[in-house]
Amino acid sequence: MNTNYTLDVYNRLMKTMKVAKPATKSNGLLTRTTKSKPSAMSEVDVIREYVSAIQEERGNVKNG
Amino acid sequence: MVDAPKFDAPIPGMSLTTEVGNRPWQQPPRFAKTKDVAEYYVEKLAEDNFADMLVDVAETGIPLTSIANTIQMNSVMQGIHSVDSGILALPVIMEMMLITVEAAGIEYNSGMEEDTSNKPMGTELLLSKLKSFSTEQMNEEPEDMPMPVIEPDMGGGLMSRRQ
Repeated sequence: MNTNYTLDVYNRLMKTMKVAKPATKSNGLLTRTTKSKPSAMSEVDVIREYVSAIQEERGNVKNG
Repeated sequence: MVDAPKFDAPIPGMSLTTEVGNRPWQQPPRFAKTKDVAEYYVEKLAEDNFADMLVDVAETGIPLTSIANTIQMNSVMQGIHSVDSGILALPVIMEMMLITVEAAGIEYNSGMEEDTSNKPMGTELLLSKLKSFSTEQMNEEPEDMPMPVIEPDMGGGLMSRRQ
């Protein structure tokens, strides 16, 4: 029985990190201008932020 | 293939050998929030002491995914965080380890490469092999089989007619 889920969790997180944000629509007359309330960060979002920060640092280390 | 029996499983009733709540993992974890767990690993894995040990272990060829899993399971057993927080923190542990081994410039096995040695044959490959096998058999001309020589029965039994 496989009890090591590291690869699956890692790959899944990487997949969600690569998803491009949808393009914002142009502002028409009927476009709502009020900003939606910032939703609370989920636990995965927290991890995603940490991973992207470490990856950035990793890139810096690689490039010297 | 049938899996070989596993003998390293816990003995039935092993968890009942102590009062409930005596084990660290039966207590509330030290860090409940995912942010705190991630912060804990970032700090811990950045220590020089840990980096040296990790480099030594990674040089032996042990996959980093296995090391990451062991680290988080060990923390669960020590009551530092819950199992689900540990699973969530796995990418952070992996990234921290990758940054360490890459900075050390050693050869390492990340454990993220696809291992094809244990994979079953793909359907397409299997079909093509089957196809080539059947065409080979069709093309082969049947060898001339020698006709068996049937010798006349001499009738050596007790009830055979005497001549």
